[in-house]
Amino acid sequence: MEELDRILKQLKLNKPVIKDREFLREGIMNGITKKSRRLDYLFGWTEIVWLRRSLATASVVIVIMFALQQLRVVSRIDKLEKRMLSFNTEKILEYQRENVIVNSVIMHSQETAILADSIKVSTNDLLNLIREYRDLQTKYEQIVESKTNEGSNINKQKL
Amino acid sequence: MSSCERPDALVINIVHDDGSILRKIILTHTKDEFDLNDCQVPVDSTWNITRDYNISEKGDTTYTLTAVKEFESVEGINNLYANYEGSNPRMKRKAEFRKKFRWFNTQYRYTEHVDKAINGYPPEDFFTDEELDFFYMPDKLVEARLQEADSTSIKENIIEPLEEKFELWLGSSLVKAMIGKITDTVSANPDININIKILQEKEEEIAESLLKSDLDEVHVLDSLLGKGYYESNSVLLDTIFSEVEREFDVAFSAHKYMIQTVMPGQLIATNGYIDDSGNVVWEVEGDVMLSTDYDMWAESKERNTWAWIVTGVFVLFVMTGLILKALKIL
Repeated sequence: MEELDRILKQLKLNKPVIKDREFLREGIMNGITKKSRRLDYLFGWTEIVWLRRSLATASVVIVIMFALQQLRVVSRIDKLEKRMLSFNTEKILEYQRENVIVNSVIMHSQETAILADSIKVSTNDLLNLIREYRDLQTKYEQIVESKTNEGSNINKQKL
Repeated sequence: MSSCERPDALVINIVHDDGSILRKIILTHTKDEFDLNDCQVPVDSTWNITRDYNISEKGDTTYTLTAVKEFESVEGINNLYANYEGSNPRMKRKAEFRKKFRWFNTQYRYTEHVDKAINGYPPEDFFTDEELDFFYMPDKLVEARLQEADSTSIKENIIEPLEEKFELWLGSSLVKAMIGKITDTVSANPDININIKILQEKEEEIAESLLKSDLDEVHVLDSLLGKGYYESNSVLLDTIFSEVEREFDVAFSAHKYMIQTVMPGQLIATNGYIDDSGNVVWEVEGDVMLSTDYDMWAESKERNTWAWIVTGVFVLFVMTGLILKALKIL
């Protein structure tokens, strides 16, 4: 502790000699004022009351506008959920292909062609009827085919 | 139901942010014969046309014709609609594209509009929101919905009431259109001596009688408005009946087709139905444009990233200035 006091005393007694004190002081002061001048230049508007208030109001308005706009968009997007259904372009085209085939069946059958012009049968019911009919026909053909295969297998076994 | 064999049509509009539209028309038929002059929507041989065919699991062959054309703006499509003489010749249609700059976003709106056929009652006056949802829903989607678990409930609570109300809406709309026309004609020609007030008062009864009784319009009018009513105004009534009939035929003989629209940016609102890829689908058929203008619209938005950055920098700058000022005061 005594040693430290001694060193401090020595240092105080042997102050550094500054050759150009004024020049140094000016340099330091310039450095400080330059930094604050740059800040003043950038934010000088804060000293002008009407400009400060206008810019502050403009910022608040912009933030509110942004929030409202985004809220509106989000609420509209939320409503879209109700209108979302599971389908795609390929499914639509598949339906159209089935539709034209069913329509063709109706128009080429004398019995169903009469029904097509009847107001007593709704379009959907008629189309459903033909679709069911076509499904049954396919299933029937598959059964007949499998029976034929079974028959040929039995014949092969017999041979 | 259309009783003639005609290709099914799917119209795909790919809308770009500059208002240009790539329009693709896909026609499906059982024969490899496509009469482009008789299509539900305007299309001709100048379009880029490709053909294809498909053989289903059941062994049926269907043929597809795809016609593609790029339009610089909706004006091109509207010119085609204006000069169209195909299978829906009296259907008045137009397309509209709007772009709105909203600083943070740019919003787009694309509309395909079909004029109503008669001045009847809008479906909204007769059907509930849920029923309307199915009223406007393309057949394919209704069919898909009816294959889901809640199909019985949908059928009982929505489809059946909708079908029951449908005839009443149709009849009421026709009667309204006729009375409206009579009123307009009499207002324009004061020398025609016909009691419009009584007609307007009995509008509901006339509609119900036409639907429920087997009587024709002559006997219905005579039974409700007094014997000889029809005979004494037959010239005017006959003219108006045939005029309304002609207008009604625009919807009645309409050949339906589907429209799919792909919007630029993110979809934010529509009155159509959205598929798995975010495309919007509508079906144009007679019912939907019978008594009310049918607007098929979709809106989307694109974020203006530069505007977000500019705004962020500005707000940050003002906030920093205000904070520094507050610190200085302290």
